[in-house]
Amino acid sequence: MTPTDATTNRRTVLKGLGAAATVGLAGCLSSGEDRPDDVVLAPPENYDALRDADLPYPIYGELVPEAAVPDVVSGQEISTRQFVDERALLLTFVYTRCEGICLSLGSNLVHAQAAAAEAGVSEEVALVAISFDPAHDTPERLRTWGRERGLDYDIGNAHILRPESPERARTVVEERFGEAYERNDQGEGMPFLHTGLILLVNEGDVVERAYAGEPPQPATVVDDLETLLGV
Amino acid sequence: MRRRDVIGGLAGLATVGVAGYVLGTAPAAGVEPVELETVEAPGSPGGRAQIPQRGRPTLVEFFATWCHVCADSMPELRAAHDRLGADVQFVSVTNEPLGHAVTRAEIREWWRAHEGNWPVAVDVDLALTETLDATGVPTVVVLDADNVVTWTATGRHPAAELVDRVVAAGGDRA
Repeated sequence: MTPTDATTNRRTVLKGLGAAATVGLAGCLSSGEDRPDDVVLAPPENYDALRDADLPYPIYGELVPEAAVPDVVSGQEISTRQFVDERALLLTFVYTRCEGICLSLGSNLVHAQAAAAEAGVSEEVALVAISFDPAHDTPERLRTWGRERGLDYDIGNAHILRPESPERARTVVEERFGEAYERNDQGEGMPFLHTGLILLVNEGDVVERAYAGEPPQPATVVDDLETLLGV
Repeated sequence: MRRRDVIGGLAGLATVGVAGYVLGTAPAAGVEPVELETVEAPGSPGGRAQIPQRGRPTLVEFFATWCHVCADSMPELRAAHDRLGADVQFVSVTNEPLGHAVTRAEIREWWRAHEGNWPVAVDVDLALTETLDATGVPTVVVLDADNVVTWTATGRHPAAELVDRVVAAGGDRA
């Protein structure tokens, strides 16, 4: 990696992490005007501030970025846009070496999968985690990671995507989705710092919620998904 | 006389100002208890429990059966539990989806393997998780007898610190 790349990455990370926190703190009430088309949920509270912040990741009302990555659960390649007209999508970015205090990003997928199963709408949602540490996250490690957290692969709506190389991970996760991450040499049990982004995307491939900065309450994510699915 | 009036007036204003400020940022009100199912396991009679219970301090540890740091925290929690008196509500809570991610039997098995000997509850509706704003695991929350949160932290903590935090919230030692 050239120094230029490192600088860019650090800046992207800072922008991603810092901007989310600032916007979160600002907490401005949205005017509610200029609501984008093709969304189901009401705008997030700080929508105006989010729009003005020019965040590196997609926000409410924006099209979900496209990326096709091999799924270690089904063995097939999965595109983040293949669910159009069929399923909502809950998408997050993970690495299995997070042995410290994790934001329970994976747990949100598990809570969502359980809630959807209970409501009988398992076929209306896809739950997708993309690893940004493929050098360590082998297919087997990723499958075990998901199973341990309670993802039920038999339902057929859970996918864990593994980019083929660290370079591909950088392209997909950071450049396309704006989930910034960088190595953290100091934190014990936390080899990476990352934005901690969760995207809730509707059947039209439009982002309904981008949870970042402060980790969301799992109940909030489940409530938003249930509202989106009308259950 | 006039000078004293002026000073008195200013002091009164200042007092009102301070009072207004205190009222404006009132100390956090105690949280409403949530009724959760407790899993029948060592030290944990099956049934239901109000958490956090009003009238005595509470320590709640949010954990998950997949969480290694949570498992590593159990010896410290056990030691803290041993050193605290009976007038403290001491409880561990998992919010893993019951019947989906985990079963009662698996929780019981985990509890036995990690030698828990106090009540362990399941937050099926995520209600306590939301009330106490636990977004990761492990998260420990200490509340006083009025259910006001006095300390919340993530990660593993030495037994001595856990005990000190509960005592600071009005808890008694064994």
